Amino acid sequence: MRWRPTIERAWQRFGDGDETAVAQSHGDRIFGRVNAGLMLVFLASTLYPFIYILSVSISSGAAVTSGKVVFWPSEITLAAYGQVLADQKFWIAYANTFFYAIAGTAMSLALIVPGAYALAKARLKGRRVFNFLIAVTLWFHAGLIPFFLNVRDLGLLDSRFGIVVAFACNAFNVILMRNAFEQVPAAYEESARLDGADDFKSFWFVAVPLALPTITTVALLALVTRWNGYFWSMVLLFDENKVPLQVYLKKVIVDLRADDAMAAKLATADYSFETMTAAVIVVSLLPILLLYPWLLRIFTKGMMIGGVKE
Amino acid sequence: MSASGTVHRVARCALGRVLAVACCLASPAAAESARIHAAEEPLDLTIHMHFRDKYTWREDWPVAKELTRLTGLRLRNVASTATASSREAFNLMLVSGALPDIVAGDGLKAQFIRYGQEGAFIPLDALIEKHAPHLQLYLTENPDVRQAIAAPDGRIYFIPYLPDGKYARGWFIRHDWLEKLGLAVPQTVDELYAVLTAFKTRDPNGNGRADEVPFFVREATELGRLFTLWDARSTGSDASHDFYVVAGAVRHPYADANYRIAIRNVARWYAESLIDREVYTRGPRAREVMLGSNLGGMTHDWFASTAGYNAAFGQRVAGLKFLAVAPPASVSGRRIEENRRARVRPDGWAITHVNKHPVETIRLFDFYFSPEGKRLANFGIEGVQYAMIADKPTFKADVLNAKKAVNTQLWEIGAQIPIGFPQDYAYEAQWTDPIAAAGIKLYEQGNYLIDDFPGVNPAPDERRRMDRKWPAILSSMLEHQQAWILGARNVDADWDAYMARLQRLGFEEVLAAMQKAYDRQYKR
Repeated sequence: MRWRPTIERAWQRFGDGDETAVAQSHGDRIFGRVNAGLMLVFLASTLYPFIYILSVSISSGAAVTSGKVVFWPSEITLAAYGQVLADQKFWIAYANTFFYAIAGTAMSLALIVPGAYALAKARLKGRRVFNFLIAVTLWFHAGLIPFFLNVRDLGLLDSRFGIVVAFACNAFNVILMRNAFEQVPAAYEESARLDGADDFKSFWFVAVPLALPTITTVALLALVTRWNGYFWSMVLLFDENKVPLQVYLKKVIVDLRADDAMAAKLATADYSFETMTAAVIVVSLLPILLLYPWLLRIFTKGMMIGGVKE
Repeated sequence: MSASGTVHRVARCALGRVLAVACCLASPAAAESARIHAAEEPLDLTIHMHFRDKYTWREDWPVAKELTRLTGLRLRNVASTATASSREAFNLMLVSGALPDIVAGDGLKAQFIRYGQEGAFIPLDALIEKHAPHLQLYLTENPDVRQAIAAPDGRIYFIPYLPDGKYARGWFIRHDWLEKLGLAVPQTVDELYAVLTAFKTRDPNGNGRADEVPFFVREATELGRLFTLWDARSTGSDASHDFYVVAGAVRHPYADANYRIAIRNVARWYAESLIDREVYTRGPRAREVMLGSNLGGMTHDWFASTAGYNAAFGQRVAGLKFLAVAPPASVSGRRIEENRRARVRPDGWAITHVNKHPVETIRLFDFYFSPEGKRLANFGIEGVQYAMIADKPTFKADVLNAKKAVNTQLWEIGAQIPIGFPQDYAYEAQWTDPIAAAGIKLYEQGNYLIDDFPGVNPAPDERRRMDRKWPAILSSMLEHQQAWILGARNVDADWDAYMARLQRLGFEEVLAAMQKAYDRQYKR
């Protein structure tokens, strides 16, 4: 276990134990302790809901409704998972989410990376106007109905492609990407051109590799947004066979909302409204949870690069 | 449906389309069968129906298929099956401009009337008169229903869902606790106070702790039923916090003098822990928690579902006897049950202006008021869900004994959905839990029913005034109510300022608009 010494070292550094450090004043030590304490509170407040949902999902319905589940699961059963996984619509929605996440991220990269590259180059005519128009969308949105009508007029209502393409570009990611390309020293490209590279080659073989951390960051942001995408999928899709997992999740929660006649009957079942909802949440979190830790490293690095400007 | 009837119909179809259509149009009442569209291939009509945030019309419902078989009309759903918000589905359908032939759903009365007057839905009066004999008869026999659905221009733009039966909710109390403590069923508000106090102090669940919750509810609005014990009210209809009418005058319960007295007492009960301390946050599982852990003593809730807990928790809580009791008499000796089933729900269906077959559509609406259509909408399909025994539709044993509740089974096949049809309480009486049935009978014998406020259909200027002022007034009322009951503020100290605040927010203006709309609609 490598993480244990790391945490201990960190704790010591915050506290009073680190001999090698420059002698700390009393105030520094207190500051460090308070900091660490706050971080632990923060950690607990983010970790607790997660553990709670996990515990609820594997507890019996009766245990949850009678308030026995506070932290650890009680009367462990997988009945809720059984209910969720047996629903064919769940699997369709799951597959849809994978599709939207992967195709959507690919579409985002295909549009944002070359677009931002062009915007980063001074030789682009009307560059300031383009940049301004893109930046405007950071602050101003058309609103629900105009956007809906726009999508309708483009013939993209109730279409998977519509979902993939309509949300592929967002101004924040474009600006992040543009800044990354602006960081690439002009000298690299000039020397590539001397060697005979055209626009595409200097973009593909010089700029893209140098901006890779930012590209990964943008990809991750796009991926997470797609994975969590809920509202617009609900509005723009009409067919339940096309909806992503989050919309399905909402439907499950609505479905389970006190159906009066069902309430007493369900009181005797192993699962309950709450445990099923928790089970869907856990299952929908798993993939992104597995992916996140190793993407996070690139993510942090990319954020640093994208944020600094010469 | 007899075999000879079917043969007869087929033969008549073969006579030729012209003759059949002419015959149907000329005298729909005289037509023996429910056939509306005579040709072999059914007539397709599009329908936007998204209801209770989760269901849409489905062509594969057995009842929908039966409808096609009987009438020759096939309804094709155009509502989104993806969204979990019926209101949003309706709004987006309207703004997209792609109107279907029929729009149906729950809670759409105001929309039907508003957009009907603006031209999106057509007035049905003339069509009903000419082509819908059953509907015509129903509306003549029930003038109050006609009044309740009439638009400000006096016309009808939608056919409503009409629930049947009287009592939906009532008071339930732990009879096993009463017996254990040697107490009688409380008959007055004072006796009720004594019983709840005993529940709190004399440890009826026998665990040695005063953890009992004498009175609990799963929706905070049900707490307001206690107000009736001091001759105040919490609502006038089956919706929460609604207006009510006294001798032709529209009033709001939260601006009445008795309300102040009721709040004063409910706050006292809350302070004495006779009411669940977590009453505002307990949530929809209150009954499971309170009864499953042997903590709760009394509630006000639905007869059918509440009675079901006796069986559900009978094993876990030994001796559980949660039975309905008559409403205790108020301080002035009145016994009322404030909640009742609405006569007319704001649900139903309407014909849009793009519909090319308004006659066939109104005859479809009429079908659901014919004996055959009523049976289809209430009981499902003859021979599958029910059989006719002594001229009465009777559910089959496998429907009654299935694991799922009968109404759930009916929803799943497309019966008992909020389209325009008169509900038949007989559908429910057949499978009502005996404990619930006993409770309802108790209420019927005592006749605790009071008139409900059927609501008003405001004219545009009245609606504008209400829409602008009412939300702020109501939230102010509810904020005060909660603060008073929880003891954060004192109702007697606040009352004058409260009433002044309501006036400042435009309470009189809203009341005047309501009164104007009410007079136009019901004093015609």
